[in-house]
Order: sequence, then structure tokens, then C-alpha cells
Amino acid sequence: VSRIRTFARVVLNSLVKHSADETRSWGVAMLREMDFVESDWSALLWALGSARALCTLSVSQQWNAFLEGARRELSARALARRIPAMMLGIIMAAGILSLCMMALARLSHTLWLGPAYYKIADRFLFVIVPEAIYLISAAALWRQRKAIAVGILSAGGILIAHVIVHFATHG
Amino acid sequence: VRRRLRLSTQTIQVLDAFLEGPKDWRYGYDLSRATGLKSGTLYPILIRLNEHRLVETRWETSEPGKPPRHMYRLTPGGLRSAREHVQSWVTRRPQRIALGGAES
Repeated sequence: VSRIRTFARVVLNSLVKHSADETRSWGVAMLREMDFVESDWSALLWALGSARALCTLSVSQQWNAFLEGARRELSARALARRIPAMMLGIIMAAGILSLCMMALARLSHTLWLGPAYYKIADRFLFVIVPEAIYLISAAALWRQRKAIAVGILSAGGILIAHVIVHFATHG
Repeated sequence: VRRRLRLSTQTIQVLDAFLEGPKDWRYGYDLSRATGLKSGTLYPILIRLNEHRLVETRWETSEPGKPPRHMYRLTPGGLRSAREHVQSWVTRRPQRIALGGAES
């Protein structure tokens, strides 16, 4: 067996090994047919063409699976099922923000904060702390309770949008 | 949802090659030689035809000690469909002398 043919086999074989279950049998078929290609250079071209076909097939299958998943996730029924959990996430996020506001109010009553410190505390407790809590809790809930995590992230997004608008208008 | 089969010239060439022996099982390399298509073009077509149930597949295990070969054949529906499509393609392209030949 020539080096060219060995190289062709290695290329195609490694692709077949790493391809998805649905495409593997087609890859094995292409690999097997390569044994019947007479010339070594033609075998190499066969392997490269087969590799291209396998890659295209794999990408197209993954894209179709992604579209199918997205279609399922965004279907009206699936959304309706998730709305209560998303609302719960938003309520939880609002609760966290309320706690931060209460903490700021308490801080301003118990400690005397100068205007500069008050501004820092305000930004810290209104933006950084709640956003950090949102991100951490959304990451923790993502696998088990995705809809709640989405609700929390939506609230976080709204808060960020509010902060951007605030700074854009008030400086 | 299965998409509509795109009938390119190459797909017609493959269907026409199958029609040479409508009930015969064919190997991939054999089809490649009959149509002049490279593996990168031929296999996506075979996969699509198989997805549309126009072509059925099986593994041939006739040679002991050697890995099996994948074989392809038109299904009864595929045979009907192939005849219709090849016929309509030939009538729509009268200037084409032979399948796979240069278009005038």
C-alpha cells in the first residue's frame, strides 16, 4: 500500500471516527469503497471528496437539529408552559433588587455617607450586586430550571437597559 | 420535516445510472464511474435519495474476512420517481445528447 493511499485512508478514517452516529455508516461506506479505487491519486481524491461530503453532512445535520430544537423551544405551547417559571424568575430578581434597595436605605440611615460614597454605594447596590447575583443564580439554575434562569436574566437585562438609559440621559 | 428533493443535473445522472439496472444493487464506486461524479458529489445525492426513501441501502457481506460494502438500489417508489424525473428532464432538455454531456 502506497503512502498516498495510506494518507488518504488516515484522513478519511479519522473523520469517520469523529463523525456523528447518523453519518458514520455513510463514512464507513465511503472508506470501504476507497479500497476499490484503482490509482492512488484517485483514492486520495476519493478520500478528500468523501471528507468534504461528511463535513457538509455533519454541519447540515447539526444545523437542522439546532433549528428543530429552537422551533420546539419557541413553539407557543412550550412558551406558555414556561411563562409561570419565567415570571417566578422575574419576581425573584425583583426581590433581590428590593433587598439591595433596602440595604442602601438602611446604610444611609445608620451611617453617614458623603455624596461621593453614597454615589458609589448606590451604583454598587443597585447595579453590581444585583447583576452579579442574577448571573450566578442564572448559571446555577440553567441546567435544572432554565425558564427561571431566563426570567432572572431578562430582569437583569431590563435593569442594565434602565441603567444605560439613566446614564445616557442624566450623565 | 423532510425538505423537497432538489433535482439537480447530477441527481438526474445518478437516477439514470440506477435505471440502467432498475432492480440491481449498485456500489458507490460503481455509480461514481457510471456517472463521472466524484465521491463528494455522489454521496450527498445518495444520502438525500435515501432520506427521501427513493433509494434503499444494505451492507454486502459476501467476501469473508473483508469489511462489508454498502450497496444501493432504487425502491419501488424510487423507480417510479426516477423514470418520471429522467423522462421529464430529457424532454425538457432536448438539446442534451446524453446525460452528463455538455449542454449546447
